[in-house]
Amino acid sequence: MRGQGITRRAFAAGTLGSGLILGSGRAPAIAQGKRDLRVGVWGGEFGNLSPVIRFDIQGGLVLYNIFDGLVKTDFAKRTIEPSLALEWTNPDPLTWRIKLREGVKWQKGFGEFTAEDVVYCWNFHIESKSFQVGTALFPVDSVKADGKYVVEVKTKLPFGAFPGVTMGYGGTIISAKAHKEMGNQAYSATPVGNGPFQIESKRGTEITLVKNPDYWQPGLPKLDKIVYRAIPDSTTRLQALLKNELDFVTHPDPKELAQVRKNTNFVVNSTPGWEWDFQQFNLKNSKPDAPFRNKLVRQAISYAIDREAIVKEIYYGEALATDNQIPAGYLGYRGPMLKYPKNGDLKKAKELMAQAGVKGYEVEVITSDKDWLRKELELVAAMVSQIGITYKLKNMDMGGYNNLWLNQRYDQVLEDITLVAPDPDATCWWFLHGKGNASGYDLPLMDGMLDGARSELDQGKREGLYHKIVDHTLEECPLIYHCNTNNIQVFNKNVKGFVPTPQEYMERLDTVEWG
Amino acid sequence: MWRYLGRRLIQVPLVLVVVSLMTFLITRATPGDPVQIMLGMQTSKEAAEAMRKEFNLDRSLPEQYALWIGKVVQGDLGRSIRLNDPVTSLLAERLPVSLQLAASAMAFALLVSIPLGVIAALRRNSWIDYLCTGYTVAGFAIPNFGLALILIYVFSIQLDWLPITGIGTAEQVSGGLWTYIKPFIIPAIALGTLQTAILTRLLRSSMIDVLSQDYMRTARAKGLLPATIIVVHALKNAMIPFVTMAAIQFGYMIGIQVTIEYIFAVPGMGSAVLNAVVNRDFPVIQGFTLVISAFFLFANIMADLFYALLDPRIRY
Amino acid sequence: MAVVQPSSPATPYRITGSFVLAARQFPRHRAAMVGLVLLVLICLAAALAPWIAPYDPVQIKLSAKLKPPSFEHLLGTDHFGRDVFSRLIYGGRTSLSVGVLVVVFAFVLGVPLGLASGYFGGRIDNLLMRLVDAFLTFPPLLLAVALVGLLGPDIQNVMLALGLVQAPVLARIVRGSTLAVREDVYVTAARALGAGPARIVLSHILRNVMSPIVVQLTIVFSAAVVAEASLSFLGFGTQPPQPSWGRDMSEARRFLGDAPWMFMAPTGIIMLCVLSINFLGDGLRDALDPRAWRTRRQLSKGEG
Repeated sequence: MRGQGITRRAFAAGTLGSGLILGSGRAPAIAQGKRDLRVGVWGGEFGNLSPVIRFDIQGGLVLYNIFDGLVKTDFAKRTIEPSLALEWTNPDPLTWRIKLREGVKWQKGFGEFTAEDVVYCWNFHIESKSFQVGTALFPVDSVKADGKYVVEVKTKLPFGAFPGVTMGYGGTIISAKAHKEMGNQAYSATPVGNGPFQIESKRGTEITLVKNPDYWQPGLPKLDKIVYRAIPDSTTRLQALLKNELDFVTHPDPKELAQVRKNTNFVVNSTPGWEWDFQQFNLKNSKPDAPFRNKLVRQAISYAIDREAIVKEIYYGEALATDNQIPAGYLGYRGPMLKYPKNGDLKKAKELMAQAGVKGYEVEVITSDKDWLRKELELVAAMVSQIGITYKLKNMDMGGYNNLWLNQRYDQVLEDITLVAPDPDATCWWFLHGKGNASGYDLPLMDGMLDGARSELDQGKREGLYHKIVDHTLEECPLIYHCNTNNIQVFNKNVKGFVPTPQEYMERLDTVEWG
Repeated sequence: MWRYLGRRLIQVPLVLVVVSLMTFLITRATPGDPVQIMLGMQTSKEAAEAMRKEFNLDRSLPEQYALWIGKVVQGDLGRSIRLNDPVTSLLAERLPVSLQLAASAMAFALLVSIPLGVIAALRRNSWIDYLCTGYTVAGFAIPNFGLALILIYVFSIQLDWLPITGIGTAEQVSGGLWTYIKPFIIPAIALGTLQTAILTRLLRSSMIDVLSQDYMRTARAKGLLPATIIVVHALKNAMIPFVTMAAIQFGYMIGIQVTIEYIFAVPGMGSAVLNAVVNRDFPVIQGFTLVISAFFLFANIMADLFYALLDPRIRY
Repeated sequence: MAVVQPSSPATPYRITGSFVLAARQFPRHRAAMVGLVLLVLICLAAALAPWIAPYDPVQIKLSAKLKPPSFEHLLGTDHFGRDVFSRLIYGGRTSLSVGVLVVVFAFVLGVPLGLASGYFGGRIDNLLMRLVDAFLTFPPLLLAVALVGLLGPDIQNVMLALGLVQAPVLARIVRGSTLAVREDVYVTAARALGAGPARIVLSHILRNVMSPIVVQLTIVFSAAVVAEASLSFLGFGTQPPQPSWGRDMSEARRFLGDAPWMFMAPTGIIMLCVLSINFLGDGLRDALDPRAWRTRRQLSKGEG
């Protein structure tokens, strides 16, 4: 096996040169006949797994393998495809009729999936005022079943993004029977779903899923068992994969990917993501004399940011510089960089500062406990210091951060978000509308544009409306976007069939198998 | 002695009440709302209020505390706001893992410190004594997370001898003995090195103390007893402070595991408290600190007991 | 070889006498002298940082990133091109000032508590000591994490948290020593002469319990330095871009393979700092209290 010897030596030489932290990685486990997968995910303990209570990233990664949605997103084509809903019609602007797939069974013998479940689930959301009432179900006025397999929804206003947002993000349905019998708490700990896998056991940082024997799609899932482990430290998680303690990891440290890519035993999958990093200014209730209330200062900051440097130094190339909130392939998309140069323009930034008559000032900027945001903020602070602005950094833990951010008790934040549905409404409304919970902005003109784009049914007209919203955002800079970060997975080379996804937690493993 | 023990035990609930009251006040007096964190930015006011009500967070502080302590007396530590599980079942998952890690670190500390301390005391100013001093000095000085990272780099990554993660996983528990022990080795060394240093130093000096007692010197000088018996006898006496200290240190270990748990992805008590603090999960913070404190208190009482049992001169 | 003077039985409690003796004793402890010199050097470097540090510790220079040690950069550069040596010196300001302020805090809070408890005894003692017990049973690092997490990641909060953790240990020790001297002849004499409790405690008892206090404070200091590093490692301590030894270690960990100097430098300096303080404490203990060599050193909490 001469060829093998040469490759291995060449690889060893490569590692010596850079002295990498990961070692060479063991030879992968024997794949033959293996039917279980060990997955390492970001985060602490697994919390809630029910779609009717808010879930975190590690919860979402598991949840979307227990449940099927009414629709599914074709990430490659950026379209909404049928799943548990076979077809949907919009007979009048305020009515949606959804036809459901027949013969889908709930796990663990909880009967058939019917229109009653959808009615029960959406009414539960509405009655419990769940998080979905704000995001996906806000237009819903009433839901009723028309026979066993048809759901009829009346909306309060025409809502063009109904299939993507309401049926997409809000379309993970719970079992009425199981939920009633188990109670909301027990259900959220070990939910009964209708997806490819069901929960076998759950203990703290580890969840074991097994194949759902009654799954409606023939031949799926291909694995018998998945063990998810939540590992908070990104370096540890990746090292554990390379040492064969895991088979598949999410959210690796992008710094290591160049090295991992040289290792032929592992596959790196890096997909341009629906994740944004952005700076946000509190224009709602910061002090009236805050220098950043001047739009020229905000523009100057946007010009001072070298977005390419962020992509390179913080994400090691696993991101795409962008200055606006609509990603490639979506309604309203025109390009990643629409107004600001990707390497920044210091001269222009200084001119704008002079034009604004602001000499330089100090401002407290907060961010949460995501380590990449902390590093990014350090770099961004150095960039804006060149135009005389001093960022005083404050890294908060999640609790302290949310307390300041959601109550608008901050001057400036660095934050990242994930798009939950393939519609621009999801990245615009909540961050720019005066009533959006994450918004530090309050301008009737913008509110009007956002509401208008939301209730317009004609997709062509909506596109134009979102162009206007984006242009206004670029001009006013209530938020300054830095980049879209990639959604990255690393796995053993013998793990086949994974379908890449740009969405942080919709990683389906039903098609994955050992080959 | 039994009276003393009785008095100590009576004081335990008193101290725990103070601990729980302090934890309660610290959590409530500081910014951060668990409900808001749990429900996130998309929530509605009504949902938040409903949830506050569910966890009694809408009541006055004295009421909240009274309700909580009333349940605690009945063995109910409440329910985690974030995880939705009873705190007691979280404890049942986490405590054994932490105890195993602490026990393995202590086992390492004992395995190294007893021979090292004894030999260093018997061969004072020899190379092995200097080695012992060097080791204890370094062991005191290096932060455990620094040592952990160096050990991982050398033994897991470069040499590929030992795994990094695996403590507390189903795979570990269901495997054989070696599968079970393997993941503990590096964390135990990283965590136990400080204790090793403390215990080695203590054993060395108390051995020297005992060996220099008049009766020991006489016995040795007259050749009355074989050397081994002398060592055994001296060790028996030197063990009194040693065992006491070991018990106290064991009590501490659960509280100092946080950094180690983070690095090695150990699902122990420390990381649970860390997550609970970050998410303002009040019931978990309160329940876990209570248990950690109780554990520490009992370790201390055990230390006193050992002291009394091993040394008949001590009367409380 | 000069004969080592035991503290004379006639003047066992004269503070001036024992300090003079201690001052004579101390330099004989070689390790302690080494510790003292090292500590003074580290403190001086931190104090004179703006004059000594060759570079700005926070200025980012991406073109110079991850350079190995050279004459230009004595300890190399980090991932943002910042001089590791300069960061070490400035980081000392953070770590040492945390150490000093925690010592002050522990002293101000712990000593009066311990004195009051030990001197008055009875109910006050019982109450205060239960409070101290309660604080002692809190795992120190977790308490610090909780306080910093809940109060916000300011360096003042780190100090407050660590001080709160350390003060009860000190209170315990002071109480013990106070109990031991409170019934001594000179105290009873002072009491008979009509001296009030404040006067007795301050002028007679405090000076006689100073030696365990000083020794314990050295332990508090080193525990605080390590605890600050641990907190910063977990992301709860010093805020970037402010250099801190613990935070720099956690950052350097990602570059352990490519740039080991980034990791070795802060680890080394923390070890050196803790070592020299420990040596200093040992020397002080031996010098201040000739009987102390028998009693086992109070081992502090706070390592983590």
